[in-house]
Amino acid sequence: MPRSIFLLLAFSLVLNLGLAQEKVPTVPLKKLNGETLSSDSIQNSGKPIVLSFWATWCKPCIRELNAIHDWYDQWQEETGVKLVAISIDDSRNSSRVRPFIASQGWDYQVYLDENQALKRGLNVNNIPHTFLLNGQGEVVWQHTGYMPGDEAHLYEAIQKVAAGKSLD
Amino acid sequence: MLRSSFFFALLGLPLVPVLAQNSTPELGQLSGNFQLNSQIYLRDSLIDPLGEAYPDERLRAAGFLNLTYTRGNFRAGIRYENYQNNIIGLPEGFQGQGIPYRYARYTKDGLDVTAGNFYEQFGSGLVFRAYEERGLGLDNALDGVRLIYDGAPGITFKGLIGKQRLYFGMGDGIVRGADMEVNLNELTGNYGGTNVIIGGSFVSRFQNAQSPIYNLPENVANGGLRFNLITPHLNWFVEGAYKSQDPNSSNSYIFKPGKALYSNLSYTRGSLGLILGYKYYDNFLYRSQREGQFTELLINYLPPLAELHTYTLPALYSYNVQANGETGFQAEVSYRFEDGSFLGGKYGTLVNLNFSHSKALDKDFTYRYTDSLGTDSTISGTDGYTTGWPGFGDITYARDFNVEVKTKLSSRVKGTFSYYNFAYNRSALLDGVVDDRITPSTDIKIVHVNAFVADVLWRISMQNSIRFEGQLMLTEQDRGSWAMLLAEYSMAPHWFVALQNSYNFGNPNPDLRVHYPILSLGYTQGSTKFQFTYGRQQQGVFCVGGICRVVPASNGFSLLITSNF
Repeated sequence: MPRSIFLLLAFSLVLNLGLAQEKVPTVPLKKLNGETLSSDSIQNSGKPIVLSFWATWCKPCIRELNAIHDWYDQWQEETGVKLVAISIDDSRNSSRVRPFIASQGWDYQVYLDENQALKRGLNVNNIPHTFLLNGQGEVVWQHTGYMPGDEAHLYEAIQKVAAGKSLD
Repeated sequence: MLRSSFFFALLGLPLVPVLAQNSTPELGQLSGNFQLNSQIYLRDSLIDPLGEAYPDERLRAAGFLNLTYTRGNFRAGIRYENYQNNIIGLPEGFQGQGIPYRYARYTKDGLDVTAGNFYEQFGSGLVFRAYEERGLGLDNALDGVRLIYDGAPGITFKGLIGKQRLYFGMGDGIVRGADMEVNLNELTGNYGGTNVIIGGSFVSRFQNAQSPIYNLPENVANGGLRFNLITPHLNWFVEGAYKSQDPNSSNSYIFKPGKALYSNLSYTRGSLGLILGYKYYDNFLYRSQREGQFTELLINYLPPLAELHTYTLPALYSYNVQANGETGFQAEVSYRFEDGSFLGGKYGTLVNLNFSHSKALDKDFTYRYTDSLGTDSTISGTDGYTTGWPGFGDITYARDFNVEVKTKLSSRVKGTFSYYNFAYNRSALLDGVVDDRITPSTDIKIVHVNAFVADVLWRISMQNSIRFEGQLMLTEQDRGSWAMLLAEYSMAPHWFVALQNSYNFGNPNPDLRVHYPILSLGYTQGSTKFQFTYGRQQQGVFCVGGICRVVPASNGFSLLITSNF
């Protein structure tokens, strides 16, 4: 069995050379009004998108979304960025998401990923986990965990992506 | 070996035409993630006199690697897992290495086909939920085939068949299921801000029966109906389910059918949020194998409807769903007092109140004598008990009241202050005493707790911050009172260091009034994180989603690496 793993890894490395940028996989999500939507309909007419995975019980996630909230109007004005918050709360807590957002005063687009299909599809280990997508919907930057101040680094990346610059 | 060759075949399949044509601008994408958790254990006879958390290996490590390949509508993935041996506190059944998870999936014209392993959920999970919680060592993925069709507007149909994962093998039972959900507004094209969604699900499991004692049903069915009304301010969800006779080792082999009712109502207006929840679970544990234990082979999920305690000390007492029978409710109010108002202060204040109560069902047990003297009795083989609706019993499993106040103390300092008052049935929730044994017994251990938590974040500069946590948990019962202090310094975007100490100052045994210091150091680079921990971990219950496991006290070093590519 271990041999097959090495083979597979070697195989994947070879493949990697010609591989495209990661895109958001197509999985169904739920809007807060109960309608379903497909994750590939998350768009921002060519402007960058921040995809942030969170849950009502995850304190660093809430700290991160609150920190971004303080700057969000300015970020939107300067770069046209849109933040989409993906809640991975399961049926235990999913009914709390709408009242929770209202009390926080967030004006993000929020979708439910109740059985974590998108979380799994984007290979998220732990939350908070934040992705930055460019205008073509490709993942160009990502970050796991949250420390106060991380939002400034996220914004540097957003500015570069909005200006069509490379992040390297 | 068979499995991996199966996967190679799948992985190779979509590439063949591309490589053959030799014109390949688009080879698809490869992505994945990796986690490794290793621990070096130290002998600590004070907190662990029997050496339960001191394994012979001294060092243990567990980890996994996920690899996902995507090309257009096609997707395939595998997960290699390795437990040498599993970390103390996680299920010992995970031992060794292998590829227990591999799948291929494509979507076309509204049809979504998966072959191999998959996770899925119907409604709130009362009837079916295959999911994973790595922190608990829970993974009940199905290995089989799933079809999802949502080509017609407003209608989603799901059908599946397979066997469930049990460590590196499969459970005995075959699980078959179907679910249909209809959004009436999408169906009729009538959008007016209000959505009505109805759904129904049916699942059946088959397992051979060869019991010499009981005539066990081989097919056990579980069916549910749900209704959801959503308006701009209101969201009302209700789901009811019925399960046919399912004698199994977790319900003491009783022949009573199961019933479940779950409802949630939330109201949102401005910054005001109100939530009311109700649950009624009567003999509703559902596994794909009668003999399954703990979190093994669970087919369904029962929402616990109790606040999830996330701070260290209150989390020592976390709610654990009693699937054999419980009922209860939860109420929650949240409101934000705006900036500049009397209660809001300069920066606004958020207040959240939560109350929940979970009780045993009022059961009248039916006993059967197993000896000629009429002294030894059991409920096995009978209908178990009779109960009615609403059926609130005398025994409280948990009653919980808590308040949380969040406010900004200055432009750089934020605080969250919480108070908890709860009663926790240790016998049922921690010691696992089932209710047919609790009811005749007078010795039920209830822990009454008052706890306070202050969590303050001070942003020294844009990149530097310090967070303090002070926790005090007062109780006369169980292990007595605790205090805890934490200081965490972080320098974005890479470093953090944290020092915490929990002190069990109120332990009735003076020898166990000990300190549990823990030092953690973390380094993050993009989506890769290293975390090093050294210290003494108290014995506790670790819960996710109302399912818990008991973690023994331990002492040692640990290193956690997670990364994503």
